[in-house]
Amino acid sequence: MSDLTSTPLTRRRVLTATAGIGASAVAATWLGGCSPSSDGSSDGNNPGNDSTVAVKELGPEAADKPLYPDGYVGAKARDYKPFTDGSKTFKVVGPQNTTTIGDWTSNHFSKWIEQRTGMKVEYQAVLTTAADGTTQDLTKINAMIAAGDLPDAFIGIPFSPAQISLYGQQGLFQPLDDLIKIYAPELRAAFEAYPELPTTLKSLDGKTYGFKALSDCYHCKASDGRAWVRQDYLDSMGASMPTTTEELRELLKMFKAKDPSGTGKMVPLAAGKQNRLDPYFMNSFLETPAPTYGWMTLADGKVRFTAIQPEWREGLRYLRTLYDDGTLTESTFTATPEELLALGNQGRIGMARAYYQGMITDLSDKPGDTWTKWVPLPPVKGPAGVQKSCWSDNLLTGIPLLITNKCTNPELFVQWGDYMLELTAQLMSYGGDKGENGNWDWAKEGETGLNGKQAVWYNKKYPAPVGQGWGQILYYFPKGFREGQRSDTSKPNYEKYLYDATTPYEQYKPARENQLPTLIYDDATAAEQSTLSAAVTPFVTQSLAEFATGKKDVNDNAAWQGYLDALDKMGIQQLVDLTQKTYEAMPK
Amino acid sequence: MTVSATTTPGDPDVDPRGPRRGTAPSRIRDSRVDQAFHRVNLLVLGVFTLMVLYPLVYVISASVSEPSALTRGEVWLWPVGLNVDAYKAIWESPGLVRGFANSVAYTIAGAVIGTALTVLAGYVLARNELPFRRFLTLFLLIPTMLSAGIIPTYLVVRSLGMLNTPLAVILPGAMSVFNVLITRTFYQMNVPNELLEAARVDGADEFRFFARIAVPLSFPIIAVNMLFYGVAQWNAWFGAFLYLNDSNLFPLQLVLRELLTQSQVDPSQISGADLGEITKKKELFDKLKYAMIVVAMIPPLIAYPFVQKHFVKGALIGAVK
Amino acid sequence: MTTTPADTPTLQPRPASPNQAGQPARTNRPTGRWTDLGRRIKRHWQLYVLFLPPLAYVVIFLWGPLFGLQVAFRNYSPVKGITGSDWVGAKYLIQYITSYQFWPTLTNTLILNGYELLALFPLPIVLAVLLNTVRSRAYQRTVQMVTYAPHFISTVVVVGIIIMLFSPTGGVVNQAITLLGGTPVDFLAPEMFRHTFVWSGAWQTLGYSAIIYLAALAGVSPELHEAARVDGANILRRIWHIDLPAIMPVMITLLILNIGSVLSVGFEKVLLMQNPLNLSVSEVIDTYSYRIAFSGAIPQYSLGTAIGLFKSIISLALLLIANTLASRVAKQSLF
Repeated sequence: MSDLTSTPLTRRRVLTATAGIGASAVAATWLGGCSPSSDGSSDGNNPGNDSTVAVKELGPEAADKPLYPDGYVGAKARDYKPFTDGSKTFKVVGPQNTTTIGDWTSNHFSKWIEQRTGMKVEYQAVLTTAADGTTQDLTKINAMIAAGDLPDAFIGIPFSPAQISLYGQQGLFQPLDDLIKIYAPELRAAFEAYPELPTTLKSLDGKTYGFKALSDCYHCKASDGRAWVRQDYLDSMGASMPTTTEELRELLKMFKAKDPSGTGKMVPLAAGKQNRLDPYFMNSFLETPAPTYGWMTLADGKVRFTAIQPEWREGLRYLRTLYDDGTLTESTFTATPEELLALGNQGRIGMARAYYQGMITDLSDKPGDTWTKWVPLPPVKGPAGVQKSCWSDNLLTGIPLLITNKCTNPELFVQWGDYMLELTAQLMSYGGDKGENGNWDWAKEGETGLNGKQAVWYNKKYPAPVGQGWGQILYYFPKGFREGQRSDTSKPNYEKYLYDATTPYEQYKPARENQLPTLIYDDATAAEQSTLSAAVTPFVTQSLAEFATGKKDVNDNAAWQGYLDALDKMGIQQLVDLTQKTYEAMPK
Repeated sequence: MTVSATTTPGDPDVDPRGPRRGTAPSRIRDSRVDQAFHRVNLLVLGVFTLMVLYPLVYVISASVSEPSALTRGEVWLWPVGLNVDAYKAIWESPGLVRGFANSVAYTIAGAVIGTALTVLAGYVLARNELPFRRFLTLFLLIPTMLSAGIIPTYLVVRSLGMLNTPLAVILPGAMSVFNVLITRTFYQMNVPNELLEAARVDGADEFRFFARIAVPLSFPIIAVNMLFYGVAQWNAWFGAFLYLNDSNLFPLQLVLRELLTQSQVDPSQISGADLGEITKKKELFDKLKYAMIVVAMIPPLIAYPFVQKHFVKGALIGAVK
Repeated sequence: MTTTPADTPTLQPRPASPNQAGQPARTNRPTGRWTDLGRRIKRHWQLYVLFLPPLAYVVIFLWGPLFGLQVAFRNYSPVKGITGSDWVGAKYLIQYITSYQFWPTLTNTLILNGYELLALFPLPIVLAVLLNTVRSRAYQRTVQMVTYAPHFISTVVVVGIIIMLFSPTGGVVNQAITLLGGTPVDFLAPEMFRHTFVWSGAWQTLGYSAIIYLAALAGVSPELHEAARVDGANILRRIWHIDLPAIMPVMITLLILNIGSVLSVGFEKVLLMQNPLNLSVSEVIDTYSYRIAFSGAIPQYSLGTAIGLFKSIISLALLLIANTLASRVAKQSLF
């Protein structure tokens, strides 16, 4: 068996092997026209009632497969045969991406999946990212929907869960629950490995409209609350890692006084517009979630707005002392990402709030460079003994495959998507071309993964050269996949650094039942929620900055009461009730 | 203070053809106030030009600097280090040449169509004796103030069957009512009714008057309209983004914009990426922003002098004769 | 419809009477207001023909999409389409007007744009007049070209440059200030935000905006200047009496139009210059609308359209007021 892993496996060999099996199986393969509802309505129930359609099971393990370590959890390399003959061409709309995907039609993965599934697909690419690269811009998609120009399916188009829920209920997308039960063995396996997954995929009416798996991204759980400190500066000052808020305060004062950077313009604490202080600092006073949750957490099953609690005020008092010490300044709230990066590159930062080191110092592939001197700063204990981290165990499920009401063969698409969740397919999409001349391949025996066990796969670089794969569209990255990536100690993958930067936060994470899930607002509440939070969010953000910098006096009871009263007038109670209602309405 | 009554050919203040190269200064002496004014004027304009020049120089410098110098905040006027990766990326990006050619076509078409529509509308609305003139002006002005948004316009374009064609890039937004009103003002000022009366006596009808007299008299405003519409079309990308699917029809700005958005480093996607790639991507993004501006700025700057000579002082004189 | 000629700019003589010059009115022709009107329409039929292409454009592309305004009164969903969405009447308009941020954002918008209008409106005029008096063609051309170029720099880069230059932690400007003995100024602080926002727009837009005035000045005969010079007028008086009246009509037109757009501040620029400390002055209608309508989980098109409708109505009202004022004071108006 080990011979197979050492034989150079070219893509051609894999394809010929698959084609060979496929050709002989075509006669036996049923074509997709069995029993779907021909009027294209969104009722996906028929195949479920048709007892002649057998439930599809996982395919046999592929001949070309890797070594799996003990306790491997995840998709495996399997052989699958085409399930349709390509007589009908389907239309799919996907995101425009000229640096990874390139031209959808000539993309290697597009061709590979077509051969594997037998499905002929015509792709249309639409640009969905806005100019700053991060916000999703669905203007064009919404215009297309409004005009009725629908494809058979959307893939990789970033509809929010609330939109999917709403449009699904309005009939734009077809419900997939019964189809998944029959046609999606890989997804069902993922459901078993991750019991929370089926619920996460459901919309408010209890139906599943989006076909997707997940990425078991360990480091993503702590991403919003990380803080970093320069180890080399600690060493040169003879200081140790702080464990309480008081020690942190002293450390910041030391940065200011001793100026280990030698520039004379030391910035003890650096944060900014997009690197907020509260997810880290406030967790020493009360459980505080990531900014996307709008300062809402759960306590005993009830939604709580953290920014009006007395503990929040204590946190503000603490920040105010930092301001009075001169270690926290207005810039801590107003700095742009570029300013932050410039400061870090000039070596002037002592402690910083950032998602990853690259936001405060340029990364490089030379271990030993400045950026490696940043070490994660674990949460510190507050005066009341609270020591929590900003952590989210919510599954990262990405962007789904959505089948529209225009498609007359939804079961084909479910299978199409399911074939993509198998391990070889995942790597063909994520890694690009396979083999020596390609960008990825199976790992050899003895090579280790991120967790020290046998590695499963490796890739030369990500993203793969343009036109090879689809990147991270419809991913299934379970634990086994992520940990199975070969870790080269001489050229460490960045994943390792992020992994190491997450473990210090895990022990302080809040209980799972206190973490709010990603809420799906229904149509009626979405408008109200938007209006209310459009007033509350800027106000709380501004007040945080004002109290911390002394523009408003946190020690003045009248000022604090004024803050609470203003929030009251804005309707904070309504917002909390709304959130509570939505939380309770979430599918279980 | 003596003044001479003789005019001097080539004297910039007097000769309608404009100054000759290297003209000798006017033999008519300026008053002291005039002299002081001219000196201060040159100074003020010079200072202002330098102030405006600064960001331009910065953009060029940033686009060719070492990326690490940029992220360290070291670049503030001159380039630090030399690195043309961003230009390379633009040059190598598929669709660049196509995009450029498309943009040139859209710009010319947009400028011509926009100017034609504007001149027609502006001229007609300038005619005082036209019945319903006020109504027509309001008819143009009101929908400009109201705007129903992107989706209704998309539906209109679609219902005309223009989706995914160059027409969808050129026609919506082809004519700006602001420009029409300014053109109208221009005609009111520069095409006096005596001319019209004189032409009528000569037997010219409206069409002939418009074509033979009004239009030649309005070269400055035609030039301005061509410039404004041309620049607007050159800079535009949203219409192309919304209405086009075929990337062969994309204008330059859209091609560049795509390149830019895909060079953004999205923190949630960095898992598994190796450091070399993240670093390179980030560096590219920083410089691309600037290089894109430089590339996109060059054609309008080259085209400008050709248009500009039409709104030089005294350009209209001689046309009436 | 009125048949009196509209008020004309000062240089324009009053037009001749409708009858053909020199021809006596024939007394046996039917007279009356409507038949006069009919005759005049017939006479100018060619002008109407000339007007047809722009008219067609306006009807199709400007009036056409306005059917979408009803989205403001419906609970719009792209799935149901515009006419398929449920009718809710003024619900979203009311929701907007009674929302907590309504007055603050309206005030901020008016102040910011009003300030910008007052400060930046005269400047392109000054630039154009100054440029126009420059004798050296080469100098004039160079200045014009350089000042026209910033128009092409994208807002993102412009704000990036501003922040870089004026950064309190290391910007060149603050470094100079400290060198001269002062304390660093936070140019984006609430008290400075408006000034920074307005004046940073000056250098970017002046050159481009001056072009229209330059074109207007192109129609001024240099002989007028020369004659005035001979008469002993110095350059300042010549500018006041010759150049300025020449561009007055354009000025009034642009002023009225700008007043009509006072509710539309440069959205992208404000968004980029906002930070947690200046939100109380930097949150304007467009950024608020963006927050409410487009950054939530479900895009609120109805709410966004309702806000847009509100803005349009106010803008139209302002335009009408400005127009009336202008026609009273300067004897010139848009319509």
